[in-house]
Amino acid sequence: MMSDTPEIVKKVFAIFVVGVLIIGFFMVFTQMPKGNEVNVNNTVSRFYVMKDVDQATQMLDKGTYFNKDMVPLRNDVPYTPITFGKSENLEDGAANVVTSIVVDYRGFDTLGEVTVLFLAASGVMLVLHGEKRKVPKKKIAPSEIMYVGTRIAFSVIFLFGIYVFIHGHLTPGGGFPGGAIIASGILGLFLGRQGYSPNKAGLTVFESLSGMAYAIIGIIGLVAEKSFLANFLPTGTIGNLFSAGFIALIYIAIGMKVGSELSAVTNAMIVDTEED
Amino acid sequence: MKTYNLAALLVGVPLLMAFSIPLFGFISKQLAKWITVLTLGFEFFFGLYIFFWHIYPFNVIMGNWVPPFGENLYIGPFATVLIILVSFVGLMISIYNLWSANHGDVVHFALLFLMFVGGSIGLISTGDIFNIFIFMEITGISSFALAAYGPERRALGGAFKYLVISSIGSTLYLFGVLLIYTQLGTLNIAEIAARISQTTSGLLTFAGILLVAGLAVEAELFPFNGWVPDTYTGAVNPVSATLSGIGSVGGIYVLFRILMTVFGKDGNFVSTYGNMDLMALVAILGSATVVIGELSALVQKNVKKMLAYSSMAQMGLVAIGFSIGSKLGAYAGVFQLVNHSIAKAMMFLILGVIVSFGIGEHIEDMKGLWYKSPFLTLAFTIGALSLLGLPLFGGFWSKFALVDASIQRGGWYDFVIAIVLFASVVEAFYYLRIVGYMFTSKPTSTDKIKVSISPAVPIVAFSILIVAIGIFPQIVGGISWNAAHELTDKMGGYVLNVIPTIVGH
Repeated sequence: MMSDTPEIVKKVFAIFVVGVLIIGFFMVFTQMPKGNEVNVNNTVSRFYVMKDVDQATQMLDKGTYFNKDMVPLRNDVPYTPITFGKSENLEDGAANVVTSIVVDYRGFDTLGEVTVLFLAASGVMLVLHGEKRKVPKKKIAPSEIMYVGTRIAFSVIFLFGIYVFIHGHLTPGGGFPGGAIIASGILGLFLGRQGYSPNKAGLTVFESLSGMAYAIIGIIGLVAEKSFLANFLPTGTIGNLFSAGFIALIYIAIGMKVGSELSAVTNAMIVDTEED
Repeated sequence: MKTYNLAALLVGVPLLMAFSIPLFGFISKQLAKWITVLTLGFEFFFGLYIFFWHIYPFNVIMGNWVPPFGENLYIGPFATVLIILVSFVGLMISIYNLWSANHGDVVHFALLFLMFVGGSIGLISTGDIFNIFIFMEITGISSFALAAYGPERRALGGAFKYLVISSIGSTLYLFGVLLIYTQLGTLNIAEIAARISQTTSGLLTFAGILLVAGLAVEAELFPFNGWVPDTYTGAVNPVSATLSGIGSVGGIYVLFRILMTVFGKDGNFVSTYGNMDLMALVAILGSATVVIGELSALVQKNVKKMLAYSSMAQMGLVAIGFSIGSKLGAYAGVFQLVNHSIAKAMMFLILGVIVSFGIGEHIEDMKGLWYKSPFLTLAFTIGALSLLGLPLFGGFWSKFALVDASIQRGGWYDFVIAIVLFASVVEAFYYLRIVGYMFTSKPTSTDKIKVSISPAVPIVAFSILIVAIGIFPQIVGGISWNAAHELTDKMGGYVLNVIPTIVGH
């Protein structure tokens, strides 16, 4: 039906659509509140930053939270400020606010994101399945420096990746960057060694087990705390390595999953798309 | 507020099983396919449990953070009926896949299929506007890969088209969500719904247009449905059945959850906040979809392409039904959605059986099918008669309600009556033409088609269901009516069930 349409009509129509969108985008800017008028306190994240949803809710009169304008907090409800390294048994316990939102308050989204990456990797394998391995004609062996350097660097990169995802609740980073760092180390091995190919079955097993670990952590929460993805471990002292309950466990699962997944995708791409 | 946190397993179990499928794949490829059957069977029976024990409407709280602070699933009547529908269609197609999916990387195919259905169930049950985006990504990415699966090269072209359009659509959706977030600072559907009048009206209108544009891609509404014919024709038949029977259900659900619950302004007929009535916009898009889809289907000589265009047109009818805005209209929409999903999925599966016996997809190839396989011919006829709305078949009741609701609305919706009747006549023409070919013409060869048990089960189940709905419409009618109530009464039907303390504005 569309193939009969003349080229000029298509172009005019496309320009029209783009024009309407551009006008729409600029009209939004005229209506957006100015930067200094935006009331950040009027958002759900206000409660996350205070790191205690229950207490923060008590500090507002019932129902006033849903007002458009900022509502001052009540003074009669005691509020203990949180001190790094001292406060214990907080409701979340992660020193990194972003982590506490990503993994704890909105952990269900993150489970979804992990699945999205998993499906993308599986989709690549489904589409590329059956493509023959093509052996490149020109063989350029990597230099000695590359060969030795990547092997040394790999161990350091690997350790650093593990460090990043284990400390996800304390420092910036977490499972996704940590996994990506590990995968970049594997990429280095591809560069440094001609014909290097990681153990495919091992990667698959690793990927599946770490994904299942995340889902099982959720189900343990359902059994122990009567709610899917609920924190079932003590939150400890804020700032310690062993704190924030299950966040570290989830980030380890995510980190292993992302690392093995990106390595598997890299492997599939490199092996299957080499030109002859 | 009623909570029933165990229902988180509706989303948790498919995720767990999907992650484990590569491990089962090491043991046997057949086992991976059986895992999808078992998991979707679990989903289906869980859905039936929620339905028959009348547990709905309830909230599922994630991580012990009550809404709006954390995320929640809300399973009301609308979500219940669609969860049962989606998991039933998914279960049937997974049984069919036991027989049909043999080519290529079967393990990853089973995994992506399971996650497509599981993601659709998540999309339907979630109560968070950003979580919807995540599930759109899950269903989207799995469906691109599924559409590219198969021995034929044309699958890749269709899948690529779908990938591009759908990615743009979900980006537009995300931008719309962002605009709402700048205004209200929350992502919870119930809270946004209660506070939607506090937003700037112009910004809200633009956000609404972006959301409609993004969701219309999945819901197959004109002009965002350019991918439909190529993708449906290119994909293998069970995948076309999945996209038509499950993918579009999720798209339509989210579209009207946003328009009627989030943006909706209660009244005799639901309209939306903002400078422009988005319900009227969707009504116009739906009408255009019906006319264009039916006329395009009429001229097709390829049966699969005809089913694709017809699928588009049917989604237009569903959208018209919801956009009338009355309770009866929403009832017609839900009912039509159920009928279309079952009938169209069955017809794609029948076509898959026919094609697997070396008979082509061209309309001429259907000649004399009655002499080769009476079973397939009867099932195809039942599906066709239901789609065109003959009495005693499921489609009759939904089209009847659709016309009735348009008459009640009046005004320019009188025009919609003409469109529905016109659509029925055109559908009657092109479906009965195929059916006529099947029964009357003598075949060139009389090789019998022997349908094995695994593809026969879904086809029999679907056709029995269609006839059962036709004779006893109350099977679907009762819960559809509750769903219509949930959609048209936004505070009582949705918001207060999620956040009881909220103050409406």
